[in-house]
Amino acid sequence: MKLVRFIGERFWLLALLLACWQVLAARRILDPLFFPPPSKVGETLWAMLATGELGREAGATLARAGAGLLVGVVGGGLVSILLSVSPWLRAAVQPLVSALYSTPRLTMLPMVMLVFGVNEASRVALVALSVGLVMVIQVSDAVRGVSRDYVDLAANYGASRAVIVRKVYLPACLPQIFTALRLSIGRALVMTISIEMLSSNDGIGSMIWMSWQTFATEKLYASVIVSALLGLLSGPVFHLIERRLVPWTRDQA
Amino acid sequence: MRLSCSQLRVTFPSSNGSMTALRDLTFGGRDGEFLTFVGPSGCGKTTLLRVLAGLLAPGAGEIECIAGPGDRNSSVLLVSQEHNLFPWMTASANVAFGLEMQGVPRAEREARAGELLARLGCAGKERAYPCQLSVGMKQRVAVARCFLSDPAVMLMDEPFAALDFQTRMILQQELLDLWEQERKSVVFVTHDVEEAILLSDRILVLSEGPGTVVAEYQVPVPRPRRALLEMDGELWELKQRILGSLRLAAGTGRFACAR
Repeated sequence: MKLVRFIGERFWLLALLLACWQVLAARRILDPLFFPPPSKVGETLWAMLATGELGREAGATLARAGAGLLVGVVGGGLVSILLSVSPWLRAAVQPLVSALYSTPRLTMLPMVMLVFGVNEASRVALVALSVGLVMVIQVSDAVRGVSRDYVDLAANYGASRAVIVRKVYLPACLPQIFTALRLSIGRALVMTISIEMLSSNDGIGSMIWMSWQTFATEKLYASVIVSALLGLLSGPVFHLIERRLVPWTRDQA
Repeated sequence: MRLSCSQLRVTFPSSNGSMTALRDLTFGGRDGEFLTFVGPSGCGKTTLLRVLAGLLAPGAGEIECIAGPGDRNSSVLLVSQEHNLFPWMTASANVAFGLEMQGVPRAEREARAGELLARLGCAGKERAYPCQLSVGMKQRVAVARCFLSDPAVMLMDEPFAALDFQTRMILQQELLDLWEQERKSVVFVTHDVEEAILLSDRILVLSEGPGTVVAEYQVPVPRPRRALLEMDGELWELKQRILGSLRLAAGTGRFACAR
């Protein structure tokens, strides 16, 4: 009963809009070539799932985003540790990071391709760069935000530098590291699909662009829905992991 | 244990040159004594404790803390007003932190932490994180950790300042009971004269910044003590004398600033 109410409260507007769309398209008030009715989009989605096309393309996108995420998170994490250790390095790298962060990442695709060539490496590299920047900014911020009080407290009890890093800095930064990871997952998916629209033969982005070019509007809508679902589903799964690993932030308002 | 400080001076850089927080501060702490500093706000009380805890190097002067044969641990540990607990550790892990740093095995330190928490009325809170504890509980956990580490000297920086009247009274009584059993050397800091009289063996009055000792009082109350101390007769007089010293102390500070 609770679930029914939950769904009712959240999805009535969406359902109403879909119903209107369905009726308007069926009565041909909306041109079904431009706005195919949701039932048709659903059928197409189902057919794509049945033929395995959907799984293949979504898999390609996820693999690409995952590879970029891995490289970006590890690389960004390492760079942020270096920056936290050396204030000298931080001062020098900061302007570079700020400049890169304020440049739309997609504009760098041609330059990245000049370096790596028109291949998979370029796509993954750009996703990784995009993710890495988020990590560097968030994690360095977290490290600087660690309260002096906790460091003093541990030092007072005789903790060594290594113990302070492990017992104070790491757990103190963990909540913000998780925020950075969550942002990174979203960013990686957006970047991957955008890159695929520009330069790729597979993946959801490529499917969207192909559908547009061949005017396969039913497939176009279906692909956009899939890309939205990928982003939506990554959220709750990640949230579960986060609650297990940083339990002390659970009760904070 | 013997604690002695002579001619301590601490200076901080400030917008107009430098600010002297402590000036020619000299005092000695006796073994197993509850020593309290009272002083107006800004007299450098917190600075003094940070210096004693080894978190701040004094600009000049000597600090000597010699652990006695009965002390298992030569450390000087601080309980501050807030940010005492690591938010990412459970109450039990927080209490056991000192033991962990001393290399005590997990099972033993958890058992001892649980036992002490139970003694302080925190049974069942071992697995709670600090964000799930009340302010009073948090300070109990902080005091418990300090006691469990068994330092040569315990430093307490207004540990009950943020508590409401009733909780403060309960915690004062708990501290009295615990201390009267263990007799650790304590250096306590407060701006509350009644709290100082209730808890201490000896009271030192600090002047307004730069802080230095301007008066010394013995508290002639036998132990064990009760938290509801009647401030009459001799004690009322003691309180008035301390308040008088404080007023004088504040006066000298302002005078020094004007000059």
